[in-house]
Amino acid sequence: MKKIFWLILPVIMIFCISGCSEKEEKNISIYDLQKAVLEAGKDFPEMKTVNGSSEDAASLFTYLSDVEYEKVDAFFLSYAAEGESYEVAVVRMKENSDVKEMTDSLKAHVDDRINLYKNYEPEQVGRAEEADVFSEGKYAVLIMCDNKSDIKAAFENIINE
Amino acid sequence: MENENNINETEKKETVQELSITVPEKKKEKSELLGIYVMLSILLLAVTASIILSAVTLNTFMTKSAEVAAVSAEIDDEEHDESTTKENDVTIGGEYVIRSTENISDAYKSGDTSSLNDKDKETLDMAEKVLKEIIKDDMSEYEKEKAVYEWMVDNLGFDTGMLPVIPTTQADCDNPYGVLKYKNAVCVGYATTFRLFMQMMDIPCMVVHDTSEGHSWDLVQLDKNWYHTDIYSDQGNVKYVNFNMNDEMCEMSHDWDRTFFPAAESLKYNVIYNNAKEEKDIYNIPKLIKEALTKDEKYIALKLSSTISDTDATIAYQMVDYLNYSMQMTEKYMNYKLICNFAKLDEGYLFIVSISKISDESVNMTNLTEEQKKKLTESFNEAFGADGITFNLDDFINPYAQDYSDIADAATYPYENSVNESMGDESNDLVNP
Repeated sequence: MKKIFWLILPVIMIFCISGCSEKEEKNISIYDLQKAVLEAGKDFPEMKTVNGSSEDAASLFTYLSDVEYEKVDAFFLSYAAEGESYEVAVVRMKENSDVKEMTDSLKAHVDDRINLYKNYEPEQVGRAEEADVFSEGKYAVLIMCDNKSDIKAAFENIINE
Repeated sequence: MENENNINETEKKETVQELSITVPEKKKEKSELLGIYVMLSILLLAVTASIILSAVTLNTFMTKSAEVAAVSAEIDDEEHDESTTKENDVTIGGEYVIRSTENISDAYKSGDTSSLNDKDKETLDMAEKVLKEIIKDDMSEYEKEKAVYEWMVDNLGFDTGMLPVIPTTQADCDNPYGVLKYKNAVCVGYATTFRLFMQMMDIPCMVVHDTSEGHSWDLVQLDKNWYHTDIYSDQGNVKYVNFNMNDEMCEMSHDWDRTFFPAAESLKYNVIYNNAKEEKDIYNIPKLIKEALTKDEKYIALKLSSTISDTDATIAYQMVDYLNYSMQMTEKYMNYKLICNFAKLDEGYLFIVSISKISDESVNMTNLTEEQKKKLTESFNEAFGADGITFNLDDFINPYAQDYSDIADAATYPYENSVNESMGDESNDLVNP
């Protein structure tokens, strides 16, 4: 009985200590993620993409979100060059605790886009209103297009690899 | 004595034996106890470490939550402060700022440009040159306003670079310098430039923005009455539709803080109103639209008689909506778009139908690829097939092939009869009387 006790005890201790620490996530290259996701966008019009490697990335990021750029680990933003309602953005935060703030900010961005389209391009409003904003782990994601499920599947495939 | 000694010896031996038996057991017990103490100590250390780590994580979380709460409170305060409407220093579309140009108009009126920087001096020179070309001394304030409106509509472009997420608009498209220099502007550029011209001529003018801060236009005062003028919205569309509107007309397509901006109640200087035709029968509207299409006119404007009820006015609006939809199902009219606005007057309604033509190069149902046609057919049938509504693209393009005999009795939809009668051979006969 004692032997069983002494065998089990270290195992319990290991669990006690390991349960307190955050899981280390493997960070995927944001460029690979961008490539995989955008390849799933078969019916996209001409798109422009900016990411953390872009010149003046911090300034460009402000067109997407007002979250402090210092909280962002990596991001990419892909949008229709002529202003149609096609847009994909993935933002990886440094801390899990900041993901909700980022997700809320992406929703606010979508609302702004809807208002802009209502004023200037009403034909684009429908697609903008159907935009999907969600989070997964440290990622906050915005998908605005017709084949949202394909884009989402591509995203989930690559981060779960 | 000897016995006592023997007994003592025996006792001693027994004691020694007991002790020799007890010591190993006791040693064993001691080592076991020691082991237990060691393990318990390690366990205690582990639990303590776990608690400390959890506490640190919790503290970090609480700290961050407090930071977020503090930032949220700041943002709420800022939003509260910003919810107080103002005319200038408002950012439209997250990018374009409405700024005062009174320093330029004041300099123009005083003749003293010493306080202007080079950019403002150049702006003043360009604006002054325009006014010299288009304004005559004997013009009324309304005529001056109309002259500026027409110059701007005829000479300025329509910058759509504000639509992409990261705008590609030219520099200064939101202020008179860029507008007058490059002849290309977003709504803020149109509004601030128009205001500059008005202020240079001492005509009171304000730049209005909508409540979502996505669009801006002007309010101009003529003969003590205010009028809404949205030149940007008229650019590339039907002239005068958004010129000198009252609040009722403007609210069909705009919304703004009416507690801040003055009320616009007059239609005295509204071109559309002044040229509108009297109409007593809403069922004449399709015929009038057909005539306008034939003559390539851009709008029809009607003063619906006071005998026309609110219900009739609503039916008239619905009629135009239906006609717009029906036209787009015909080859001849599929590139046309009808937009209906109506505003209540003291007596009756002002009813406007603007007629615009989409570029022939745009996508329409006749130039889809096979892949697009297939996807369109499949998606419609998947969504509505179970409801008994089938969709066939060939029928969509050639509506004459469709059998509408099962649609409800035409008597229920009298306006569809007037649509069919007015459109004649081009009618798609959506309802078979």
